Amino acid sequence: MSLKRHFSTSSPAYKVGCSIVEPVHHLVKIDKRRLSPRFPELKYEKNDIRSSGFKPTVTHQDRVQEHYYHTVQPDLLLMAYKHGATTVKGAKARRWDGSSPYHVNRKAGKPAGAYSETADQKPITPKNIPQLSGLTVSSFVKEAKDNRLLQISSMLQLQQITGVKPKRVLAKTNVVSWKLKAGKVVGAKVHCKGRPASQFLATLSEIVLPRVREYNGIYESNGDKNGNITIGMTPEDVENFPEIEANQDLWPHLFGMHVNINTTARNDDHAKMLISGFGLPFTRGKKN
Amino acid sequence: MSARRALSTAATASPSNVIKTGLIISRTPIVSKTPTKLESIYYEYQSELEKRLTWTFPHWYYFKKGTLAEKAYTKLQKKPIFKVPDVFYPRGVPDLKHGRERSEKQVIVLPEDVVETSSGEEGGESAMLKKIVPNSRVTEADQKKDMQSLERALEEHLYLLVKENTKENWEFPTFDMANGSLLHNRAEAGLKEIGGPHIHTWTVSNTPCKVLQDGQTNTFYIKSHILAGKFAPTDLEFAWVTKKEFKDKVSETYYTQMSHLLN
Repeated sequence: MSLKRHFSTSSPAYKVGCSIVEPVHHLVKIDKRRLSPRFPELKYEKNDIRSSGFKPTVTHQDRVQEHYYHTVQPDLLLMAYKHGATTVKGAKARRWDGSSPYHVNRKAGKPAGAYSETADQKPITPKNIPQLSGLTVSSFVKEAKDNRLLQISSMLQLQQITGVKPKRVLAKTNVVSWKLKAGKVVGAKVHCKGRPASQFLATLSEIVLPRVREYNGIYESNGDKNGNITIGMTPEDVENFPEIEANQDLWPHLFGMHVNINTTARNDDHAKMLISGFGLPFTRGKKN
Repeated sequence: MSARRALSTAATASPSNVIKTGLIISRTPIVSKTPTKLESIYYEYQSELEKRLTWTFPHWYYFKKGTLAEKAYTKLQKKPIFKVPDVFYPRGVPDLKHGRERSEKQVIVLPEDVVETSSGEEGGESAMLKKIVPNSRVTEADQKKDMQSLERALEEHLYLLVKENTKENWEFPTFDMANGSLLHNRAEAGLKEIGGPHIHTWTVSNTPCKVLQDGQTNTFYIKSHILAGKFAPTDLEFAWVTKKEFKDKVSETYYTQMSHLLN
């Protein structure tokens, strides 16, 4: 076999079964944009007022965060306290021990007794009290397969509710029975952090959810074991958002959505403690 | 013959080692803190920047073309300065896009009266659209300096202090332990014994947040919040105090021991 390098197929020629030499990684990350003297106005950080992408963030008082620091955080420290607690290792993917060279690129096994990896449970100290890290609101629009414009209205809905610019969601895989093709635009999502997240959470807990019919709280079984809680909302629930309710005739189509509340908690119990401190009660029951 | 295990010892309630339970019950703030001068100036500066950089208001979306609402809206807006050739503009050449001067923030005047009349069919809805006037942050109890009211010092935590007739000092309520009861249960029950049954509280944790040693007495403090109701004792002086007032009320040693627990 010739080892001559072709432009199209260089890697198979050099590939070996297992890597013997440690790969060399660049220790210093080089941002080539900064090496060039051209376009100095594009080199500012995003939070620099001279940058074209600058957006002010600290525009008003954040009463949700204030409530967190004054009331929730001291309570959480006491609630999560365990006498003589030590770090408990979470379920980890089972890596191969390397006794055979074939282990190098072999996929690790699923963690024992769990579907996915869970975080190590560290004792709660004043330095790692769980807090809200952000919110993700996303909607999958089934009808967008036939009518592309509906996906745009779903983006508009998220933009109206959260005040943050949404992103498109693309289908990842082909599912023939659902007429889904990979790469097709099928929904919208938005990540909120800081003030927009606080604003959204306050609206949700004070205005929207209390007006939902037969709402008794978020079901306790929600959670992904790593401190993230998801609430499902139907189009009828979305109607209760004040931004949408104020001019209903602009919204012939409303879309259901998932609200994913992300916390820095390492398990769901701590996440639920935190979220219930923001006025979202939990009830026993199934996932919604 | 008594068959006692050699290594374990039963806790004997000797008078030399008394356990008591105390209750730090607080009313959490009702309104947000008034920002300091620096904070409010900073917020104002940042929000003005945001308004300057924000997108143009899509009036074509909210006020459909040809409607009365659109007419009322356009009538209220200030007309921008248009660019005319061969004219000198001392304050810069106008840069208009969708009727917005792009070098300045967009000022929008909303036709509030139009909004109210258009939704006047249902009484409830028009009432909701009325301008919201916030209540005063300073309440009647604040002005009267009524320390027993819960509707005062809305921005701060209020803590319950009591003074028994036999004692001289103001303190957090403390209770003697009944036989076999738990610290937090005893604290909850004790509060209702002295303050009447019409108080709804939430105990934060059954873990005490503080132990205060006084000679042979160990007092374990349980943290709690008042959710609703009223503390109405019959033969007891009491006051709901902020941290600052707490310092003036209690003895100096008690303040140094407890102040770090308060907000």
